[in-house]
Amino acid sequence: MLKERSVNAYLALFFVILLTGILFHQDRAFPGSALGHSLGILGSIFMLMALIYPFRKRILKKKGRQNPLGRHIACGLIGASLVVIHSAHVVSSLIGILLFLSVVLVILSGSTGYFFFKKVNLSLKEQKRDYDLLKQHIKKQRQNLMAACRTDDSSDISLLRPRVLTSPWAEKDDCERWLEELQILAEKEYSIRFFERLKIVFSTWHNIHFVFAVLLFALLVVHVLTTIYYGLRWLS
Amino acid sequence: MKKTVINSLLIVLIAGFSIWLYTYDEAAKPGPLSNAHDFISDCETCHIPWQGVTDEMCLQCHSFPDVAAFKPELRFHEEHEHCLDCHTEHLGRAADISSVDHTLFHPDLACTKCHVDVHQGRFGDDCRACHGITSWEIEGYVHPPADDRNCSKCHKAPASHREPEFWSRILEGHQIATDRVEEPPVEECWHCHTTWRWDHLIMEHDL
Repeated sequence: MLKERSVNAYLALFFVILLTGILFHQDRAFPGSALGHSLGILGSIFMLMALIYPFRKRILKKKGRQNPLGRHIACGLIGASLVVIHSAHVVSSLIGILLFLSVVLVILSGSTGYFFFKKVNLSLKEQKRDYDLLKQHIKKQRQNLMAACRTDDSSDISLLRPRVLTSPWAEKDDCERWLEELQILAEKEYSIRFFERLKIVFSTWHNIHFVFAVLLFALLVVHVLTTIYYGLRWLS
Repeated sequence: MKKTVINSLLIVLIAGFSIWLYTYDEAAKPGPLSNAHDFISDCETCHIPWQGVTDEMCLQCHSFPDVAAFKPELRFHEEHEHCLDCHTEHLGRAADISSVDHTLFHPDLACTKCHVDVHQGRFGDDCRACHGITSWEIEGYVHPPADDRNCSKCHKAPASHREPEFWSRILEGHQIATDRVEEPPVEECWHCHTTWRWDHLIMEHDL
């Protein structure tokens, strides 16, 4: 059985393939036909279902396994794909063009933001785990050296360096290795700060995704209203 | 707090933009009208709000007082009621909005219901045995050359060609005494017709 993540990856691939169809396919009769309209309505329902996730997250404060993000992504991708099929790659009116673009931008902002944010978050977690392990190791070594040097237990690491180097009992190789580890620790600290800043930058994708989604649903309402106002061909 | 204010402002902006789009007629226009309808500037000339384009709206300009007087290819309008089933607008200025998508018809519908059989029954009544539904041309068919002169094998001269009035007009036009030709050569099509297009005549003048 396919994992949820794989299903979403296939859905994203399907959406991209559908989009590329705009280069060599257009059918003006399809969007207004009964089947075309049905697919448009179904796609809109799926896109509305994608709103369940932010509603549960923001209003009901349900997070994690109680409110899986995977379903939000799947509903969004299925809805967007059905809407692209409904359009039959005909985007001639201003509303049509804007709506089509907003669908693409919502999917693009959602998927790329999710992908990069997830990567940054994962990297940050890994860096923090390595940092903690290295810090523990250095702390243990410092305690050993303290015992060997019979010095007081200073909490300031930077003060230790000259004492270690000048200690007559410390082996030269051990000192070099210890210095190397301290250097790695400093690099890890820098890296963590960098990834934390990057995480803040990428957290703005969420706002961009939100704005595009609001625009999409507003345009969807306009599209539905104008379609009914000027007449549903398949209904007549 | 700041984020909420910005988001609220954006929502108000988007709502305002959407309302403007809804009220702006051109925003919903799916494409330019054909040359025939290009003079129409108001959408409500054809679209009734919340109803769309009705047959009554088409008939306001396109009246059909005597369909029986139409040429055979158009007589099916007598039985067909809904204009939009075949005619679609907003396909661009150069679009042919009178073209009929034959694939929408029932497969059992006889072609002769609308089309004149130019072969006059020489090849039976199953037009689709040779002709396709999307194109009248027969794929791979090459018309015999003009000097073959066996037109009558497939083509039959129309009744008009056998009328004395028809021939007398032609002979008069060519300043040939009518008594010099006893029988009109209706099977010798090549005198007047070309092989590449039936209605193209060799003669340079109008009939």
